[in-house]
Amino acid sequence: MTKNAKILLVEDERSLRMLYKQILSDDGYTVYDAKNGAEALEIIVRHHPDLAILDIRLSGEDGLELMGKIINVNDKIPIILHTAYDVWKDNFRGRIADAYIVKSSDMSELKETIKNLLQRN
Amino acid sequence: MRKILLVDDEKIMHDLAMAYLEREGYNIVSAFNGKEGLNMMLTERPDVVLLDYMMPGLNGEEVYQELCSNPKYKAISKTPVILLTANGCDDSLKTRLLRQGVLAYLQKPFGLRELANIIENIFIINDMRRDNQLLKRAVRTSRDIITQVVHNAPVGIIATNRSGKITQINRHALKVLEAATGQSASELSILENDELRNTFFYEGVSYVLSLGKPWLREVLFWSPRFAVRSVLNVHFVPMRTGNTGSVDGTIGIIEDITEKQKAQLERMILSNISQVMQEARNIDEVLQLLLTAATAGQGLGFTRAMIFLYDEEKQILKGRLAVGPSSSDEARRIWEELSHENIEIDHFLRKYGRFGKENSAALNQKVRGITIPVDSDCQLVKHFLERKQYRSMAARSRNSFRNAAHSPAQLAALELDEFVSIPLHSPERLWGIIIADNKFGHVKLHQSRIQMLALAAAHAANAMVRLAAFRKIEDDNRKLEKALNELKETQEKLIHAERLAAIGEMAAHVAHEIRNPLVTIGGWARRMAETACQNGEQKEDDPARIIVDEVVRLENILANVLNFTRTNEPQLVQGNINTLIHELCLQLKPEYQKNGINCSMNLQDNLPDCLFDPDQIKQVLLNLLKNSLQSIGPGGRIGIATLLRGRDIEITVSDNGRGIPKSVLDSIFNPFFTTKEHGTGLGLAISRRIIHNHGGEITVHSEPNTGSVFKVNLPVDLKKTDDHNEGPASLQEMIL
Repeated sequence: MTKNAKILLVEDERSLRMLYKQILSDDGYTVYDAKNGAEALEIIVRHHPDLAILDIRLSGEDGLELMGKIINVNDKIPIILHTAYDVWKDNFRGRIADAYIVKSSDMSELKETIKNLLQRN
Repeated sequence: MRKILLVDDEKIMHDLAMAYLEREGYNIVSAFNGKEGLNMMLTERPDVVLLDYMMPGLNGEEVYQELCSNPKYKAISKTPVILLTANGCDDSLKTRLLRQGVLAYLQKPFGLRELANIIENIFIINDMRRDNQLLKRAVRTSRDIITQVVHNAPVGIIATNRSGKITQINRHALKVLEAATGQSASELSILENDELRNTFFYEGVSYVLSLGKPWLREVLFWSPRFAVRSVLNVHFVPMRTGNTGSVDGTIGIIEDITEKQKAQLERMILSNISQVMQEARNIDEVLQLLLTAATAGQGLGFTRAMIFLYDEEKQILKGRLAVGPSSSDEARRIWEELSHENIEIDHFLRKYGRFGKENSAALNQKVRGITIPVDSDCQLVKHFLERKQYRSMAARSRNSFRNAAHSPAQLAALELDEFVSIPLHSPERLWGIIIADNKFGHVKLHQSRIQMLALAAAHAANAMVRLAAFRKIEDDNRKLEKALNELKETQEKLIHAERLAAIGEMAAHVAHEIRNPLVTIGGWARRMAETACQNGEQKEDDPARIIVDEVVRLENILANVLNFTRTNEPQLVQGNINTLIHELCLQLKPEYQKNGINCSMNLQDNLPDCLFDPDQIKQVLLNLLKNSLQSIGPGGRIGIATLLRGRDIEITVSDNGRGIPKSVLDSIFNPFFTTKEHGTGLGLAISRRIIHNHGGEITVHSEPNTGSVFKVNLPVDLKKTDDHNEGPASLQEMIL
């Protein structure tokens, strides 16, 4: 299940999008990347990803709002909130999002969380 | 015209005398026997009577005796009488007649010329005698007046002859004289009496007698051996009699101005007391002044004075301060000391406090131990409550005055005899009472002195009112000042908090903006390094690896910055700081051992539990311990201690490292301030934030090259509140 799993990556910064896509692809995942909510919802509908990674602050819209919309479409999909801010960590963990990860150049935490969530499902 | 009565039985005498004497200008009336003569003396009132000795019936002597002795002739008994005697009359008769008062006699036969001369002489003598009597009467009257003036004069008057012997002295002068000599003697020589040798009597009299000039002394302080001191004005002047102008004696005028001086002094004392009291800085000073004024020898003149202050709440009068000797031995000693110094009144004020603290210790101690309940039924307390003076008269017997009706039993130790108590009061308050007496002084209380004391007490009460008002103003001022300081402090804290908030906002923004590129750079570098590793191309100095490490370092800094800007409420749990420190030290032990650091713990036993966030406090202590570690070299010492100080737990972290320069000591808690090469400058700022959020305080004491001591105080009784934030209210709000 974990390998070849489909991952939706929502990130408005191109350089980061490219980096995550590359790293996750390196690990064998199929990565669908979206730079905004509209693209993300389309991917959800079209490709039924197994997991979604959302940046909270997207240019022009709110990642949390997007999270609500995604849940409306598919409430089973594990969601990782991925952000530069660490302040909301305690607020969101265990509520709607399945994980909350602060962005870091060291992606081991992200990778580990993806693995665990996919295995859980 | 002068009238002459001739009493003679011979007719021829009448004719001859009439013929001659009428020519001489006299009016002659005639009687021919003694009885007729006496009758005519009454009716005619002659100026001279010529009385024949040898007459039938009454002879001349008998007529004269009748004239002098019979009250019937009293009005004319002094009429000059010339007796005409017969030839051969013996001398004894003449002598007898003259002795009886007959002015002259003529022996028959005599010439008419001779008769006229004698009559003329008689008139002259008679005139002289009358003048003389008038003069004598006048002199006597004058002398009486002078004597009365001298004796009734309100001043002392003394007169001496030229050798200094007293010739006249009145009672005032005598009193002064006797005070010096100790004996009752009005007839002595001032210049020869040893007791007077060093007195103004000697000085004045000898000056006047030798130089003939007046001698004057005004306001002379007179301390006689045998009486109390007094103040005199003395004036000796030369007395000159006759025309020679030489000095025949002296007259001295001695005026006792003691009372006048005292009154003046009293006014001066009162005005001085009032003035000095106005300058007093506290109530004890006012009381001390009042007591000093009351007991100063030349002032109000009480020997002992004591003050009891009224405690309205407890309903008692409590002994506060006393001045005066505590025994007659002590009194004698003090007065001997004082009398040797011979203080004059005008020096008195400078001698304030003669019975001051050093001389009053025993009495003071006694008085301070006395508490009088004001429900006592004695006169003293009753009068006090009615704001009245109370004067206890000297006792008739030694037991009656200590009777509870006069003074409360608590005052028995003071052995009050005759005393006065005066309330210290102002319209709105009863302050207390001053009790004064003349114990050991053996002088009765003087009403004028009591009035003075009452006035002084009124001044004292005024001063106390002023001081109380002043103190209230001072208290209010202090409160205002405190409030102002608190306001300033709060304002500064607010400014500080606002500044921190601004810094936090900026830092959060920058951190966010930097984090994404860093993740990109670091992520790609990491991938490159890992790819190289997988391809077996790993090199120790792989630039990709270097980038990875540096990015990690930058990310750590960002984490710190964001950590600081976050306002985490402490998650308070009940726990023991000592336990936390034990864990911490266990955790750090390997690092200490590696660096050869000696870490000592000195934790207080039974330290009470308190509410704190273990993670945050741990973070603070870890920060302090790591700072210490960095500041000391191998072999250095670190100490950590706890102590319960009041209701605070004090945690001390000390080291013997290089210390913190004084110039930066004030800045070390500021965010982004650092002395380290790779520090973020946030460790201590975060620590302080955490401690403040716990309602505590963190302080530092440091000496360069000696070491630093950080003290963290945490309140034992911290309650969970939301008031400890001081950074940005909520970063969440700020960013969302």
